[in-house]
Amino acid sequence: MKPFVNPSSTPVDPVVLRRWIERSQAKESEGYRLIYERFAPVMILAIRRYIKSEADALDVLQDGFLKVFANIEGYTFRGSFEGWMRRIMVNTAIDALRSRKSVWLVGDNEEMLDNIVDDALSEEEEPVWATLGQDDIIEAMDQLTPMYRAVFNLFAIEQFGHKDIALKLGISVGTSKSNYAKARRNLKVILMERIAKGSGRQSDKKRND
Amino acid sequence: MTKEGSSSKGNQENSEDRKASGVPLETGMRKALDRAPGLAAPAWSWMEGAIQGGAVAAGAAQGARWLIQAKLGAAAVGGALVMWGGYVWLGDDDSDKQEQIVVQVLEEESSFGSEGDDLSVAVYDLEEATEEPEVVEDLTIEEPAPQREAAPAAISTLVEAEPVEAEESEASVPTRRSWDEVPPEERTAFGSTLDEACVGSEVAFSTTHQLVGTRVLWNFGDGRFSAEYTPSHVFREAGVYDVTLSLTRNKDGMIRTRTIENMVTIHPKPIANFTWKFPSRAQERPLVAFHNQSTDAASSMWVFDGDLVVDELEPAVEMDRVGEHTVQLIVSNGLGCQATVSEHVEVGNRFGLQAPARFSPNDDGLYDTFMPKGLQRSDGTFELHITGWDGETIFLTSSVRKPWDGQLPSGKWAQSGGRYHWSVIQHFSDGKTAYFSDVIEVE
Repeated sequence: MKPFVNPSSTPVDPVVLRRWIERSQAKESEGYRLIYERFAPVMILAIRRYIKSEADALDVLQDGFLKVFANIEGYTFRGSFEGWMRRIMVNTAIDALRSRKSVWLVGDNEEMLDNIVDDALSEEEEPVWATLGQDDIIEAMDQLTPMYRAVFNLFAIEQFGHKDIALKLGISVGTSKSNYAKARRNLKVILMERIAKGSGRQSDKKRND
Repeated sequence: MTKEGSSSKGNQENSEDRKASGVPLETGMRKALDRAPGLAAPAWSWMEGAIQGGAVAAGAAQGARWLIQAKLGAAAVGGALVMWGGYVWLGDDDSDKQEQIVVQVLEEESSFGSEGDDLSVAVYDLEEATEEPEVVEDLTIEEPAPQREAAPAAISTLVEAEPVEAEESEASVPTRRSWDEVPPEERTAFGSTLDEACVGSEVAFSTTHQLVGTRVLWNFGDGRFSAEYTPSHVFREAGVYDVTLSLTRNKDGMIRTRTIENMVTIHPKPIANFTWKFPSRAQERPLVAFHNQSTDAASSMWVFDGDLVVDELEPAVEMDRVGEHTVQLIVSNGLGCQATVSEHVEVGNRFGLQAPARFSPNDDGLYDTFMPKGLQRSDGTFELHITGWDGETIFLTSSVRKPWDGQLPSGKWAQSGGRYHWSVIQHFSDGKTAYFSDVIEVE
């Protein structure tokens, strides 16, 4: 699988991007290539937030891009193209997880949400989350169980409501909420430890477009 | 790049940022991800191959991959399955073939809506297939409309989909015929999808012809009967069964009967079962020992959190991620029958038990003793074990009324700044257990 497409921080000119999309809509393979090479790194990043195994994440990346290209004619230039693609990737990742639901589902949580008392955490100062880098996030998420990871990402990053998450993952709203609280608590501890060790990086040059 | 799901919620949080010194975790992470350059991805040639091989060429290869995933459920996770190298249940098990039929039939059904009624009776609801409906959907969505010549009848598509030897393609949708159209010796002809199966899996039967003006009665040889033309039957016990079909002509009540002796051999299933043991003392990455209690199992495969696949008989695994771990054991007997059991193993740190990070045993009435708060409202029993850094046992208790007061075995008291490992094994009234461990510091 070499050589790799390397991540790039150079923003794409919207006019250029539009041309790429139009070429892809005309089923030009060159259009597919340009889009793939520009966006594969951020899409794999989004997928890895859900799927720990790199091999599985690549499967999802491939399936996701197949769906993107199969449906690109339906993209109407309304809303962010990258956001549209990422939704497809996230959905594909969830489907992949759910297709093996027998092992990734965690049982109902006997612990109620309001029982979670974080007195140990509140003693410490809230760290500066703004300095987080992508590696911190991925490596921290890798330490969560698959269900925690999915619930956390869907709520915190993709910003779905718990109702939608419950529906997507086939769990109850209560489980989604309590899993979120537990995932967040664990993630916070893991990230705080990383930051304390000085591995929280400023890195990742600002990408804006 | 525009932020996904930006709009009102995002703006709100931005204004909060300016007020507060720290940003909420979620906002910080979203911002970090927004500016993240991403991870290295495979080159275009990899994707290009998938487009040409997968999407355009009717997804033959892709279909196969989905099938494998469906078969093992989460057990087979991409490369892990290949590493494991035990296609024990993929290669020789008849139910695989069956499953392939199921998928293809469903696909036909969705593409030829008008014939759905005829076909629906041919959908053999095998366990594996019904468990994974998403997989089937994916297959149909991802594939472009199959380019077949206008499939004339259901039976032809079934035969086409049949990937195995002719002898096994008997059970298809019977065509409707009149009594006289069919030679007498064929009137009661019937077949099954499988001649060997495991206890609990379905075997589909079908008459070769569906004769107009008749009714059927199947005797499966295990005390069960069916009056359908294409019944599916689950044999609950191992054994060799004779199957009998009785055909009754409605107008005069004439009955034709045929028995096929030793038609179906049902193999026993193994029973998957396991227990586990947490380490008795504190470990940062607890090594959990699994005890295989399965019966009649020739081989075992363990799947941890859907990621890690281990084919040892009794593995010991480091559970280093805090949370509930899902452990699945898949066992197979020499006859190709498998059974699965799945359990949750909970491993936590001090946050899971609301245990403090430090205490101050100085008799000032404040935090003088150590006892995780979470144990106080627990309904089961527990063992709290405190060890020094040299591994020496310092304190053991199983009662919340006997917390650690900071005294060491030597009779001295733990000094300020001292750090001790603790572990708790909780036993709940429902038989479940959980393990927690962390460090307690003396103030």
